This record gives sequence, structure tokens and C-alpha cells, in this order.
Amino acid sequence: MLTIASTQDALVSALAAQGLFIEIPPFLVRVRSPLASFATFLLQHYPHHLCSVEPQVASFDIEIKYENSWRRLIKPQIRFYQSESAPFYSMPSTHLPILWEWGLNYCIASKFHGCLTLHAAVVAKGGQAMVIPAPPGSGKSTFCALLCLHGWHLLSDEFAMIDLTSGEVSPLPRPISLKNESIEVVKTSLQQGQKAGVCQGILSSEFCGTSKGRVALYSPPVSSHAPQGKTYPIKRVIFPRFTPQQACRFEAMSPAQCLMLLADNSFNFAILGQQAFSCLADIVAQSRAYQLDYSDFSCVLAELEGGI
Amino acid sequence: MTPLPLDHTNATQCFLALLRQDDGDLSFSASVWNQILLLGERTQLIGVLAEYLLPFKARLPERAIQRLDWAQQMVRHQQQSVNMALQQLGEALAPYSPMLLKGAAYHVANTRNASGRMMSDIDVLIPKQDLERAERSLWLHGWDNRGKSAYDEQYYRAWMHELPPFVHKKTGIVLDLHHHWLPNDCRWQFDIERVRSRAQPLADMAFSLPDPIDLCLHACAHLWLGGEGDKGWRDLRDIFLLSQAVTSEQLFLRASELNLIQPFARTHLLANQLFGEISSDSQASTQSRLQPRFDKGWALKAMLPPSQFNQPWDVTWAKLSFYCRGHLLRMPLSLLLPHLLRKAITRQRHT
Repeated sequence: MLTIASTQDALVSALAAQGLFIEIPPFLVRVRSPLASFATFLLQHYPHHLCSVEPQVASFDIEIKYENSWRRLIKPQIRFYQSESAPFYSMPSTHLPILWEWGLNYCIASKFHGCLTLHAAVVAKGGQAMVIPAPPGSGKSTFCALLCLHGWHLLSDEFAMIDLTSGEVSPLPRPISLKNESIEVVKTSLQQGQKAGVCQGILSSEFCGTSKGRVALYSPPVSSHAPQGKTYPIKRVIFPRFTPQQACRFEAMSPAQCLMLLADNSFNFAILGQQAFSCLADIVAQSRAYQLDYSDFSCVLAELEGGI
Repeated sequence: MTPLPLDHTNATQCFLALLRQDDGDLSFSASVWNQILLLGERTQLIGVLAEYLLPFKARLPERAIQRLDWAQQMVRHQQQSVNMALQQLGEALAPYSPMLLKGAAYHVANTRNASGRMMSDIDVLIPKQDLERAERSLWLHGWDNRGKSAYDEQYYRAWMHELPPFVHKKTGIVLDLHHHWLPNDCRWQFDIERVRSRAQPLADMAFSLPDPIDLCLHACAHLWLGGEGDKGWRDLRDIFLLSQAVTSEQLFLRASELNLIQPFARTHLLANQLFGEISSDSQASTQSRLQPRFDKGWALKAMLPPSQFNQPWDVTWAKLSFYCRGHLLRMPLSLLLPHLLRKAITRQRHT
């Protein structure tokens, strides 16, 4: 298998025909799309992923196509299909990257039961993982992006993938989806880095008018991705909440409360049953959990580095 | 008759061969594997495929194992939830001598079609005179079916053989409470007591199970009344395996007792065509009992797995006419037309 960057010329034709078979471990995704802009997106945000143009047995079979209607002439709409079923409404064709990211999230959240999955961002430092579960709108992605910009390794912005036997979390680094005001926060930080001559990753252009408002995708540089194949023990669980009146306040949480909240944030806790419960029980026993109210990120960073 | 050699580039043939378990050869190309797994998902038979194939892990591609594992986990979870729901339901329905139907009955009876089979709801049958009391008891036990429009209420209560579906407030499991197999104004009619009197009570549960012959005949009637060709392969596989547990003669005899000879004979023919040994004798004998002549090609097209893209127009047409025929069997035209018109108008208003 070659990387997406080195497959360059064959990408568009493969996408439009038999499909491109991309390794996004532990998945192998078949994706088809007649939109040439999709190849451009993959080259920017997934250049180092392995792929093949030869058919492979796939974990997910994805197709993103134009809606068949007269609207295509004026304002083309596209739709996401997984195994020929369409879980979402159509979107403007310019929103293709968002549709792909959200669609892949849907596939993983609803089909994957190979390990316990939580709706959470995961970052690591010094070989130890910090899990950041949170409902949408709590600033989880912003928090995760800022940590990646300050020396933390990215495991995932969306999924904590926890092995049921070892209780360790494995990386699934993909672009971080930033919403509304958080785009400016990350942009400012990136510009400061640029002035200092450091490459800190790529921020896509903005996609306006999505169901979550304004969205942009931020891909931290590969050097800050957690290496593939390595797994990390979970040592901290943080439930962040952006609170304008509060600079930075960590409040310790009991293991029992943490377990309940983690279960609430899980996609397949009920499906995996007792195994999932024992796994979470072990995790909360070996980690520290905090509710975090913050508005000043540098203060939070200092506390975290200080070993809270 | 020896079966034709399997064409390894034809995914549909390979998929059916796997379901028939008649060929041990698993050397398919990657694209054929992808299509087989897709067919499994589209027909809701991926869990069945998982049960058949996962014992041969060494001969399966890595990602196929992955997808089959996920499906198997999903099925196990469903079965566990159904077990729990049946326990709760037993408490609510015990006084009304409830009988399990369809998926839940297969699961509890552990019939040959049950392993790996996915279920979307639980179906229970009780005597018509107990419906009102049973409904109130279900409400008290956390199953709710209120909040439908006045018209929908009337549709179920006046015309259908079941109450509006119940949903459990905590688990979200759906329950259909029936008083008959067939809608009140259905073209086919028989006295449901004949089914109830043959029911077999279960030792460790409040429920009874239908006689194995009746279980198979109900599946046949349901296939035609439901009009859902998309689930055709799953249903025909059920019917084929259920029919294997008894004899053809028993089935024909019972079908004529219950006035279900037409749906049974037709389904029997289709099920054998897809999943059985193709013997021309038994085909001819079944065909001879069909009056008027039955268009098998049309029915097989209607039963094909749905395809979002590139569905040939004759398949679309067969599926549509199968759906309409299902509705016509459920209620006479004088009731059906106003009903469909009303549904169309409400749908228009909501979009």
C-alpha cells in the first residue's frame, strides 16, 4: 500500500470508479465519490494514510454522491451513503469534507463494537492518556486543539477507543472539527506559531451554514499525532465546560460519578454489557477525574502540567 | 438434480449459497466479499451470516471477520434485551394467556432460523376480549402506546389485528399486541381460537408458543399481508427452515383448515426455489395447487434485496405492486382508498 500523497494522480479516477480503499486503523474504508474536490481534501488532511486503488474487503462502504435532481444545475447537493443507506439529509456540495467527517463518525459510532467507544477527545503526554468526554457545545474540540498546539499528542477528537481487556486507549487521529468562535481561537494560535516559524498543522477554509453553524477542520501536524499501534493507559478524565466568569477551576469527582458520566457518553456501553462496565470500573479506579470550568486556557495548561 | 456450479463472480449467487450452507468454498474476491457483506446488511441477514461463517475464521478476510463480529455482538445484545423484556412482559400479561409470535417465538423456541436473526420488535397475541385490560396493565408496566392521532387510533382499533405499537419507556423496545394474525377486514379469515387451542405452554415463562406448523403458516400469511418485499429473503429463509421441521403434507392440510392455502402454497414455492433442493417433482405438485396461476418471476423480483442505486425498473415495479397487493389483502378497496388518500394528504402537510 502507498500513502495518499504518493497515489496523487490515481486518486480522482479511483474515487469515481471502484473506490479508494483507505487505512484508518482499525478500519479500512472504501469510499467512492464523483467529486474531484474530495481528492484535494484527502491530499491536504489525510496525506500520510495508507491507501489502495485495488479492491480490498472494507470495514465501511461509503459513497458520497450528487442528489439526482434539477437543483444540481443551480445549487448542487450531495448525500452520504453507508452500505447504500443514507443516515443524513443532503448538504451543499461545497460541504463535502464535513459530510465525510461526520459520516465516518456516524459509521464508527453506530457500527463499531470491537472496543468500548466513548464520545470524547483523547490526548496524551508522557505515555499517559487524558480523556475529555463532553456533550456538544462544551468546548471539547477547542480544548483538544489547544492542547495539541501545546505539546500534547492527539489520539482523537471524537472517540475514545478503549480495549475491553487492557483498558488502554488507542489512537484514531483525524481532523478536529472546530465550530463557530473556536475557529478564531485556533487561528490566532496558529498565526503566532507561523510568526515563530513553526508548522502547527492545517486549518481548512470555513464551511458556513451547517447544522452546527460555522465549521472548520483543523489537522495537527503528523509529528503531534500519537503513533499508530501504541496504546495508552487512561490516567485523567476531564469534563470541561467553557464558563466566561471562571478563569480555571478543577473540581475533583468521585469514581462512581465519573463512571456514570462515562457510561452516558458511551456509544456501545449497553451493547457490550457487563464487559464494558468492568472495563470502566477499572478505568475510574486508576485515574483522577475532574469537572473543569474554564475561560483562561493558559491557566488550565499550567495546572495540567503541574500534575493535577 | 445436481446444482449448477457456483459462479464466484456473482455475489448474489454466492450470498445465497452461503445462506444455504451448501458450499464450503470461501475463496471470493475482495469486491465479491464487499457485495456479500452489503447484501447481508441490506437483507438484515448479516447476523445469520456471522453465525455460519465465524467458526471458519481462518478462511475469512480480516475485515470480513471484523464486520461479522460487530453484527454478532449486535444480535447477542438484541437477544439479551428481548429476554429481559419478555420477563417484564410476562408480569404485565400473565393473566391473559399471552402467546409469542414471529421473531420472539423463534428465539424462545430456538427454531433453526433463530440463530443470528435480528429482531425489530416483539409480537404477542392475546384474546380479543382481554385487549383493553391488557393495554392498561402494559401502561402500568412502562409500555406506552398513547399520543397517536385520533385517526391512527381508529385505524388500529377498528381495522387492524393489533393495537397501536407500544414502546417501553426505558429500553425503547417495541411491542405489538395482537388479537389475531389477520386484520379485521382481511380477505382471508379463520377463527383464531383454532391456533390458540394448539398452543404449547412454556414451563418457565408466562407465554405459550404456537404449534410449529402454525408458526410457519403465520410467517407465510405475514409475508403477503405486510407487502414488504425488501425483507423477502429473510422471511423466505424463516419459512423454509420452519417448514423443514414439519412435513409438507401437514402444512398443506393445516393451511386448508385455516383458509391459507393460497399464501402458503405460493410462499412454499418461493422459499424452496431460493433455499431448498430444487426438485422438479415437488415444484410441480405445489404449482398444481395454485389457482389461479401464480407469477413466480414477479414475486421473486419483489423479494430481491433493495438496492438504492441501479435498481432495474421491473424490480421497482414488482416491489410496488407487491406492496399494493399487501394493502389490498388487508382491507377492501372501499376502506383502502380513503385510507391511502388520507395518509397521502397528512404526509403532504408534514413536509
